[in-house]
Amino acid sequence: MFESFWRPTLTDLYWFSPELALVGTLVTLLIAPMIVGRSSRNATWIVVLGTLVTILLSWKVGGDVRSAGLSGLAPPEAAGMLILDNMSVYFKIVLMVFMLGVALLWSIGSAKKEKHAEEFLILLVGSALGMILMAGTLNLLMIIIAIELASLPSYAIVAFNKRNRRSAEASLKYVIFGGISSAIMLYGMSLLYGLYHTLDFARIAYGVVADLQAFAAVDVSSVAQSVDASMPAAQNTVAIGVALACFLAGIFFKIAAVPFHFWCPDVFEGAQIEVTTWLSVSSKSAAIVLLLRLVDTFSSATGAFPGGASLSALTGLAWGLGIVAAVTCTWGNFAAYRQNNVKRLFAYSSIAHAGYMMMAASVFVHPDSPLDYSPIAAVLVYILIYVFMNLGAFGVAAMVVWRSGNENIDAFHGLGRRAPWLAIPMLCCLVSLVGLPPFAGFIGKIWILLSLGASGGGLYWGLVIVAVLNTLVSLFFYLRIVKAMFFVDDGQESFTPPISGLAMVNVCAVVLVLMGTLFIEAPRRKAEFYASNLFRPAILKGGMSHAENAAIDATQGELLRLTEGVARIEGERNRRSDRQAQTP
Amino acid sequence: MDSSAVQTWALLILLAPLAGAIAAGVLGPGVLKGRSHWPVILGVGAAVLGAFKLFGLVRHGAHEGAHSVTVVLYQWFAAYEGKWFNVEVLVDPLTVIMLLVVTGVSLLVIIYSRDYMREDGQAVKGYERFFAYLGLFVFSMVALVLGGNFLLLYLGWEAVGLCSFLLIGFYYDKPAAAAAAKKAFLVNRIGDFGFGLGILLIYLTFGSLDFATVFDMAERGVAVSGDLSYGRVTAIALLLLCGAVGKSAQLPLHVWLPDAMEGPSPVSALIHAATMVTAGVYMIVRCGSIFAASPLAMTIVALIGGLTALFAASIALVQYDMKRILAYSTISQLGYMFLGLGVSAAGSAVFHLYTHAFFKALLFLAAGSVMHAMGGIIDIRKFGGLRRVLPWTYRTMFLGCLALAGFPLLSGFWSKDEIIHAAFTQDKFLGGLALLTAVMTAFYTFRMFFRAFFGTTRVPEGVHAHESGLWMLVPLFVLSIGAVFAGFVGVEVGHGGMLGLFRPHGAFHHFLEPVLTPFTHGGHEAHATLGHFQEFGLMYASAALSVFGIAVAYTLYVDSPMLAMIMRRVFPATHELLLNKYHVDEGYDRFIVRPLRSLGRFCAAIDEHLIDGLVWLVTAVPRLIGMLLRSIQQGSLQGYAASMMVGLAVLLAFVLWGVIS
Repeated sequence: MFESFWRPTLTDLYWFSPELALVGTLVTLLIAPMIVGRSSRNATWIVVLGTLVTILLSWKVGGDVRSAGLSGLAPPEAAGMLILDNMSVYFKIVLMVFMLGVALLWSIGSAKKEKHAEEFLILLVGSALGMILMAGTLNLLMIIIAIELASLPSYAIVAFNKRNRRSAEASLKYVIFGGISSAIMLYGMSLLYGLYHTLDFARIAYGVVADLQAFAAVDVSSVAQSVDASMPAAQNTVAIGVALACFLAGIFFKIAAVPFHFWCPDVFEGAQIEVTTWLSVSSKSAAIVLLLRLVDTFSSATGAFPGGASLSALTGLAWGLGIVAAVTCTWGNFAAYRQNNVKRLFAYSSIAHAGYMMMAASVFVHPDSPLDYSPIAAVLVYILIYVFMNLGAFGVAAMVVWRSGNENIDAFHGLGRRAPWLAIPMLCCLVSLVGLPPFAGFIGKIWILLSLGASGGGLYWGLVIVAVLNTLVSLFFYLRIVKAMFFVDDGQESFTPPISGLAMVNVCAVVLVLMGTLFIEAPRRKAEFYASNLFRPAILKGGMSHAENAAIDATQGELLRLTEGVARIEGERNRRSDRQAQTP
Repeated sequence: MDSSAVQTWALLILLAPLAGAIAAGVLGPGVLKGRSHWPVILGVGAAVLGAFKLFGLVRHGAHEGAHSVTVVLYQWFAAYEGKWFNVEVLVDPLTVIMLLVVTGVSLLVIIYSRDYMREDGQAVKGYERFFAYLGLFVFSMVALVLGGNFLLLYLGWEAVGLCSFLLIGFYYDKPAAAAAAKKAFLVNRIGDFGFGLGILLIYLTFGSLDFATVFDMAERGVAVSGDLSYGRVTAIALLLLCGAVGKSAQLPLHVWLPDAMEGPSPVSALIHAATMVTAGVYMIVRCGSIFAASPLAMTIVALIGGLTALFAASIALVQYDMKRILAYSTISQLGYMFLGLGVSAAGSAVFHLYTHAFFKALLFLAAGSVMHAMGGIIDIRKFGGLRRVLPWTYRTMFLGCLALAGFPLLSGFWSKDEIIHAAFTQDKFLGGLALLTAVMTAFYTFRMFFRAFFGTTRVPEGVHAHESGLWMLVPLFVLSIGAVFAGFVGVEVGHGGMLGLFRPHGAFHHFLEPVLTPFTHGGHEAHATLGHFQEFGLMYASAALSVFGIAVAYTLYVDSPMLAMIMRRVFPATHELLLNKYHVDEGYDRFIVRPLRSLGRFCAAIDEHLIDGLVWLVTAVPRLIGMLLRSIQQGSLQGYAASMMVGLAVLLAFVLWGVIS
C-alpha cells in the first residue's frame, strides 16, 4: 500500500517555501552560535532576514497560487492537509509583519541583557510556524500538530524569564490548561473520526451536515414517525454535538474564549511584555483564522447537496458560536474594568477583541448567495488593524514599563508631558481599540457589524447590540489610561525613549489614522479578495469526478481494512491470552 | 480632456502645499527656523504651476467641447447600500479660475510674509507655525475648490475654517486675538450647521453627494422618490445659503470678519479678503442648478447681497481702523457678489471675485506695510501724510484704492459695473442699492487714503517709519499690476460700447460660460431688456459716481477738513450709529450671547449635579460586575480548571438541550 504514497516534487516544495524559509531560519538560529558565537544582535538580524524572506516568498507564492488556480497542496486523498489559498497567504504575511514588530520591540528591550537570545527567538519563530500551519489546514491530524507546535514553544517562552516566580507560575498554568484543552480537543476529534472514519474535515463537515439534515427532517415529522425510527438520528446528533463542542473547545482555548480564557490574564501578566505582545495577537488570530476556515467548510458543505441543503441545519452551531462570542466579549470588557495592571488590562482587552472577531466568525454564509459584506473579509481586516493597535499600545506600554519598572496604570501618569511622542500614539491606539473614529479600529468594527447586519436574523442583530454596548463599556477602561497620561501628573521626570521604539509606535499610530480616514475602503477590498476563493475540497463542490471519489474510497477502505486487521489480530491475541489464562 | 494629466496636476496642486506645510511644521522648530518660509513658498509655487497647467488643459479641452472632467483619485468608503463616496476632483473653468486666484494670491502673500513676520530682521515667535498654517490653508482651500462632491467640499470648507481660526488667533497671547478667533469660529459654526443640514438633505433628496449626479437630477427636476418639489429644493438652497452667509460674512453673520483683523495682515489679505471668504460665492455658483431651480432662494440671495453691500459700506464711512475699513469693504464687495448671483449674473459675480482678489489683497498688504512701518499702529487718526515716508506703499495703495472705488478702466470698475447693470435689469430697488453703495465705496476708500497719505506728515511717537523691503514690495507691485489690468480679460476691446471701445462680457465670461448654464437658463437675459443707450448710460453713470465719491472725499479730507468736522456735528446720531456699527454686536451680546451663557451655566449645573450622579449610578453596575468577575479570577489553578469544566458542561448541556427540544 505504500507504493502509492505521495512524495513531494520540487514544485510542491516551492508552494511550501514560506514555511521552509521559517524552518531554515530556525536551523540557522541553532547553528549560528556555534559558528559566529552568541550575540543577540546577530540572532535578531537572522530573524529579521528570515521573516523578510518569508514575507517575500509568501507574496510570490500567493501570486502564483492565483495564476495557477491552485488551492490545495497534497494528493487528493490527503486533501486539506496543507492548504495554500489566498487566506493562508494573507495570514502568513500579516503574522510575519507582526513578528517583525515584536522582534524589534524585543531587540530594544530585553535583548540588551539577554544571554539566550537565540533560544528566545527560536521559540518565537517556532510558535509562528505552528500558527501559520494552523491557519492553513483542514485535516484533524494537522490541526492538532499545528496547535501543539504553536503551543509548546509558547509555554516555554512565557517562562523564559525563569528566575521570575510569576513567569514560572504563569507558564505552568499555561501548560496545564493547554494539556487539558488538548485532551478535550483530541477526545472530540476521536469521536469525529469514529463517526466518519476520516481525518479530512471537509468530509466530516459533509457528513455532519448530512446527518443534521436527516435529523431535522425526522424531527419535523416526528409525530408521525415511530420513536424507533428517530432514535439513531438523534443518537448520532448527540454524538456530533459532543464531538464538535469538544473539538471547538480546543480552538476556544487558543482564542481564549470564555470559559477557556482563565489562563490568559495570568499568563499575560507573568510573561515578559514582548511575549505578551506576541501572544495577544498571534495565537488568537491564528485560531480565529482556523475557526473561519472550519465555519466556511461547514457552510460550503450545505451547498454540496443536490438541491442545496439549507443553512438551518447549522443553526445550533451558529447559536453556540454566537453565544460564546457574545459572552467572551462581554466578560473581557467587564473584567478589564477594575484592572490596575496594564498587562492584565490588555489581556482582558484581547479577550474582548477576540469576542468581536468570533461574532463575525459565527456567520454561516451559503456558498451560492454571498453576503454584501463578507464576514471573513471583515475579520481579516480586523486582524490587520488589531496587529497595529496592539503593536502600538504594547510598544508604548513596554517602553513605559521598562522605564519605571512599574506595570500599573500609575506608571502612565503625566506621560503627555514626560514623553509626548509616546503619549500621542498611545492615545491613537487606545481610542482605536475602543473603536471610535477617526481611527482604524472604528472601521474594523464597522465592517464586522455590517457583516452581521447583512446576514440578518435575530442572533446576529443581537450580536450587533451586544457589540455596541460592549464598545460603550470598553470606553471606560481604555480612557482610564488616557486620563492617567494627560490629566494626572505626579511629577515623574520626563524621559527620551529609544528612537526605534518611537518610530515603531508612531508608525502604528499613523497607519491607524490613515486606515481610519483616507484609506477606508482599500484594505477591505484587499481583504475581500483574500477572503474569496477559499480552498474547498472537491467533495464540497458536489462536482467530484468519479475517479477521485473512487481513489478516496479506496484509501478509506484500505484504512478501514487496516484497522479491522489490527482489531482482528488483537482479538486473536486476546483470545489466545484468555486461553492461556484458562489453561494453567 | 486628458484625465490622467488632470489627475497628475491636480494631485500636485493638492499635495505640494501640504508637503510644504508639513515640512515647515516638522523641520521648522529645529532645523529651518528663520528659513521656514522656503518649503511653503516652493510648495505653493508648484501649485501655481499646476494651476496654470490645468488652466491650459481646460482651455484646450474647451476647444474640443469637453469643458469639465471628474477624476476619481480613489474610492473612499461605501455607505450601507453600496453607494460609494470617492475622493475625486472636478476640474472645469470655474475650478481653474478659483485655483489660479487662490494659489496666485497665496504665493504673493507668503512671499510678503517673509519680511512681514520679522521684527528688526528677526523672525517673530511662531514663525514656522505661521508658515505651516499658511501651507495648510492653501491645501485646504484648493481641496475645497477641487473637491468633486459635497463631502469633500464640506471637508475643505471646515478645514479652511480651522486654518482661519488658527491664524486669527496667531497672536494667541493677545486676548483680543484669542477672542476674535473664537468669535469667528463660533459664528461660522452657525452657518456651517445649516450647510451640514443642507448636505444631509441633498443626500436624502438625491441619494448621492456627487456634484455630477446631484446637479443633473436637480436640472431635470427629479429626486430619488419621484419629482423634486419646489419646497424641497428651496429648503436645500436656503440651507446651503446659510453656510455661504457664514463663510462669506453676509448679514446677519457678518460680525466675525471685522474682528478677524486681529490676525496678522497677510492673513487678512489672503484668507479674509481674497480667498476663503469667497468660498461662499464659489459654492453658490457651483450649486447653480439647485439655486436656479428656486426663484425664492435667488431673491433672498440678491436681497442679502444688496443689503449687506450697503450696510457694510455705510459702516466703513466712519471707521478709523484702516484694516477694519478694509474689512467692512470686503463684506460690502462680497455683498456685490451675492447680489450678482441673486440676479443670475453669476459670471459677473465670479469676475468680481477675481478682480476683487487682486485689489483687496493689494490693499490689505499695503495696509500691512503701513502698519509695519508704524510699529503696529493702524488708526488713521494717529498718522497722516505718509506719502513722503512710504512712497512705494503710497503708489501701490493708490492704485488699489482706485480699483476698489471703481475708477473707470481699472479692474474693479468692469466687474462692479456688470453687477450694477444686472441688478438694475432685474429690479430697480436692487440696482439703486448697488449704485448707492458704489458712491459710498469710492468715498470711504479715499477718505482712508487721504487721511493716511495726505496732509502734514505725522507719525506716532517713538516710531521710526521706514519703507518696507523688496520681499514686501514685489508682491505689492505684482498685485497692483493685477489691480489695474486684470479687468481687461473680462472686457471686449474695440467692438463699440463705452467710449466706443469697451464692451462688457469678454474672454473671461466666454471661458466660464459652460459652467453657468443653470443661471442663464432660468435667469433673465440682461442684454435683451435694456436698450443700447440705457446699457452704456449706466456704465457712464457708475463711472461718474465713482469720480464723484472720490471728489467728495478729497474735498472733505484734503481740501477743507473743517467740513468733515461740521458734518459730524450736524449728524451726531447718524455718526454715532455708524461708528458703533449699528450696535449689532451689542445686540447679539444682549439677545443671544448672554442668554446662551445663562443657559450654559444652567446646563452645567444640571450636568454637575444630576447627570454626574446618574453616570455614577450607571457605572456602578459594570464596576460591580467587574469586581465579581475579578473575584472569580483568583489565580488558583484548580479553580480555573473547575470553571473550565463547568463551562464545557454548559456547552454540552446546550448541545443536548438543542437535540432534545
